[in-house]
Amino acid sequence: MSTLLKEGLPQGTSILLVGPPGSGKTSLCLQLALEGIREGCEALYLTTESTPTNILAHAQGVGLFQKDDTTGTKIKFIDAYSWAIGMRKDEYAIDRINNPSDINKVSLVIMNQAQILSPRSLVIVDSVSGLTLASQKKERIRNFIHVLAHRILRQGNRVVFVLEEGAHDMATINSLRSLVQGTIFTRIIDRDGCPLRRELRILSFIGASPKTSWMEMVLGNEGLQLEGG
Amino acid sequence: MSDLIQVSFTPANTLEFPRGSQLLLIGPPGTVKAAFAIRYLSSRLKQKEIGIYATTVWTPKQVREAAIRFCGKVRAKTLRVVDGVSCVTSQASEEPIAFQSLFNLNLISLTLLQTMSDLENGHLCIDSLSTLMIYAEPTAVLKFFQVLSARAKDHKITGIYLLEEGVHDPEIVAALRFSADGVIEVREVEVKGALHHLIRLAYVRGHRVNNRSLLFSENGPYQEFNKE
Repeated sequence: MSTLLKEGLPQGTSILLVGPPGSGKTSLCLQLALEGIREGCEALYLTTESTPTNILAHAQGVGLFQKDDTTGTKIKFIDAYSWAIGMRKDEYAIDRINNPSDINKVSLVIMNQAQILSPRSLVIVDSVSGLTLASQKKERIRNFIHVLAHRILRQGNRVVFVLEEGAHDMATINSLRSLVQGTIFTRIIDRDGCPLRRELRILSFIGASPKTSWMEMVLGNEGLQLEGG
Repeated sequence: MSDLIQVSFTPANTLEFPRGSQLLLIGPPGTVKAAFAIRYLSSRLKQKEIGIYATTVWTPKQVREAAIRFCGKVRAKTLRVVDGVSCVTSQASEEPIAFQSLFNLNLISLTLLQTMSDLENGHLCIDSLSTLMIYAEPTAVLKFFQVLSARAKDHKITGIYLLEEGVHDPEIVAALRFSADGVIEVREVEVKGALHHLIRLAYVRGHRVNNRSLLFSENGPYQEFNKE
């Protein structure tokens, strides 16, 4: 098992998490958030794909926390999804973004919430692809990531940017990779007659030499685990 | 043949390129370009020469920590780190030299020229041209590169300029390639499920080079790459 994830992401890191839909990106982010909260840190979660209520239901559904566990409700959600379906603010959201196409506004809302987090907190942007799709000016996204990554780093916090693999060309992914401290890829292995395997690989990490082989992500009694390599 | 130049740290961990040559260091993201560049500068610092490292991705602290690993506290202190990260977060820099903004290439080149104005025979690393292209037009960055590299050459400063592969238009990469004196290439290979990085000096104008690929290593000398 990779020490990088086992011991939590190092302080002051920015990670790009890239993978196709359904490959376990959201589960991994939730696992990291829950682990952090159990250790007394905070987690800020920007969602563009689903309501906070649904995300918590998903986490409970796959067994990341039990029914009577209130850890999940301590995640601070920023809701950038409800506006799209005309819903009111979600009960678990501490803030909401009504117009994700305005990337400056998004940046401002995240920074306002991020600067009052306790040290060693985790910020999750799930997903950058959702923001890119909404945004009129796609090149502004790179600038947004560069600034946000370094501001959060500077506070001694950690940030994970989630990216849908199919939604971007290689040039965009490469360019975003070059702006963060580390990159993690996820994938789904689909072999005839076998259950789907979800795998994870740490591609690169500044100042560390991670194990770069693929590892399987398994949902067990203690949440998401990494196996093999 | 010993007269060939090659990207290879000798057991004494020094590495030398022709004085005043301006080299592009090209490779995909996450392929140890910055680590290589810092190790190169550190090997020159050890020889009591002066190195400048302009960073926009690694924080100045990370650069200094890496330099300390490679050449020790005393020599690492002499490294001139140009902080291109604080301006992104609009915070005060802890380094004496910092860019005011990444949008203004004129100011950036002015800062760099001042930093190297007292140097002869120094070493300069720019990490990276790719980040600058997020903030300015690629053609403006090309112009910036031409001016800066010409000045560096004039001062006999060896320049290494980092460029991300697979991000920019091929025309811009080609233009940068022909404006530079030489190219160092990094690529990624997968052996038995793990990733390794191969590095080679592709060419330097006016010099004979050994352009075999070598396996990147954090500390030891670089080894010949053998697929087995």
